[in-house]
Amino acid sequence: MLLLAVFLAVGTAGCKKSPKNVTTIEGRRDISPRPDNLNGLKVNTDGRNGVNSGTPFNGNDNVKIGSGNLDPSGLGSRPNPDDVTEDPLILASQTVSFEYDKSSVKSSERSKVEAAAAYLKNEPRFLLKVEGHCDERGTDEYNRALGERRALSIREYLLTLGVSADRVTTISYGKDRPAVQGHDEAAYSQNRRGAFVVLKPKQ
Amino acid sequence: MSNHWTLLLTIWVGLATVLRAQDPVIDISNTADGGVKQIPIFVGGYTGEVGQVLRFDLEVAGFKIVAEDSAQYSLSGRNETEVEGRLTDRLSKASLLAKRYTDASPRTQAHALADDVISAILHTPGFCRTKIAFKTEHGSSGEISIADYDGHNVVELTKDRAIVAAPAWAPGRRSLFYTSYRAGYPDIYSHVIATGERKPVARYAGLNTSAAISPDGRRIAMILSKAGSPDLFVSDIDGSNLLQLTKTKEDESSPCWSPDGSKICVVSRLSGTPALYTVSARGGEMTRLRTAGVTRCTEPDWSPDGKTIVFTAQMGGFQICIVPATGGEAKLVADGEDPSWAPNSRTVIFVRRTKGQRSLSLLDVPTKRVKNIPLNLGNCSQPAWAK
Repeated sequence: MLLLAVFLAVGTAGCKKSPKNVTTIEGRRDISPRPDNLNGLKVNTDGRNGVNSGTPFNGNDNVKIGSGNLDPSGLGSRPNPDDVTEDPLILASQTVSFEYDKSSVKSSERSKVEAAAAYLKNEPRFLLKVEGHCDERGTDEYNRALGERRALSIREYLLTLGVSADRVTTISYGKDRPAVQGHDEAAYSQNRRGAFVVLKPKQ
Repeated sequence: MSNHWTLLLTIWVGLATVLRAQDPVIDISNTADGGVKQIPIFVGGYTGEVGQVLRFDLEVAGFKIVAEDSAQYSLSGRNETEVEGRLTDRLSKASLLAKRYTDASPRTQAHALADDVISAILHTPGFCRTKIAFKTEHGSSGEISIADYDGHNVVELTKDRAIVAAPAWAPGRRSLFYTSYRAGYPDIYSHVIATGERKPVARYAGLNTSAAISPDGRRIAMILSKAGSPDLFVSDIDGSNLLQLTKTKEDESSPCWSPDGSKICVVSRLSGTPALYTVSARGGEMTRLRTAGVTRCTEPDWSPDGKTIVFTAQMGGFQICIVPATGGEAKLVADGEDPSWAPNSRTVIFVRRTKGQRSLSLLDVPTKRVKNIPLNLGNCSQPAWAK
């Protein structure tokens, strides 16, 4: 950890010396895929199991899905929207539903994530975008963060199923893109969701 | 006969009580202590737009426009060519102000007079010539707009037809930071208002949102998920020198700065439901901010005088609440969401939902009086008051 931090500090001009208990992460600006950089952010992950993060990941099989413990590498890069064609229909039937104000993947919804993982195994060229959405009951920015947490929980499960980290990107729409209009539980439950969009490289 | 009058009066008073109780905007009856009384002021001699501006500004500031004989203060003057004003304390007979305003539109002159009246009586800075930024929705996308605090002179800053969110002013009011999905993903941009120059300051994989600029204008607090969960980060004003301040497994959202720049207040779901936490801007432990009496707290904004944090609680609907910045008993002050302090640390702009539409309203916190901003722009949300 320390070695990595030192290595990054040396390798990146203008990177300030890290104060105690915090990790300086060099910003990277481009959004196009750069496989050589996919693991460049590993330095920030140890802290996830630090003072604020609850139960550390202990490496056994009894892992709570969507708890945030499973993501060892941070998010690497995101595909350039100009380089891919989006297909939101192929996996539309596998949309994952969430409990109110919860971000973990329910056991009853795992088969949908597993179906998405199986699809990706059969289509090795394709990438996946996971959209996180919320019902209208939270405030705007709270929901934007919650929607991202939901998408990341799905991503974490995909990774445990063997999907490569560089194939799954996340986006949160908060409550900006409800699946259905309405102000009752029937509408809310359809709007609390993680949806899969298959990304097909154009080349 | 006198019995009839008594009865009528009783009915009238009863009716008035019922009407007041039914209108949550005028009187929040379920708070422990009622608001303080509005200050009675007489406003005479003004016509048209100038008269409207003066009345609106003074009502927002905590005054009540009354007849001269029941007023504590009297503001009189005219606006034939230039706006003139004389302010007197009717109890002490003291003259507090006598001014004539030139070199601006009648509207701006009226705002300037209102600012002088407010600071002469309340000894707080006037806010009548300040700006707000907010989000306007057009179908499933939106734009960032800027207006005078009272909703006049609206300008759409963006023309992207993309989802936008969370506008935040840099001190000095020259530039705004906001989230836009214009490149396909939520990224944070800086935008110089005068020139239109726009730069991405955070566009990492995952979520980049909720920028808040430090009071010295040199740092950005924001929510990024690049490390695997939505966490609080700070960076230099251009996005460089990122520092990760929270590393929770749950999501953080909506950071705001203490006015001395030493602390950040942020929402975390660390305990399972959203609550307010403070953390040193240089890093360290998160400390839960006590908000006794209310639950599900989001969208904090720290008052410029450092004393009070205003936020949204969610108990059924959304409620605007205040709590001492050191934590303590939270007080409900209005129904609504996403509050932002005015520079006077007294007035708050927030979002109200009426008939399925979201619109902007102004709240005078001590008197708990609410005035709607008359905008005809469809759904408006996420207001930020320039400081």
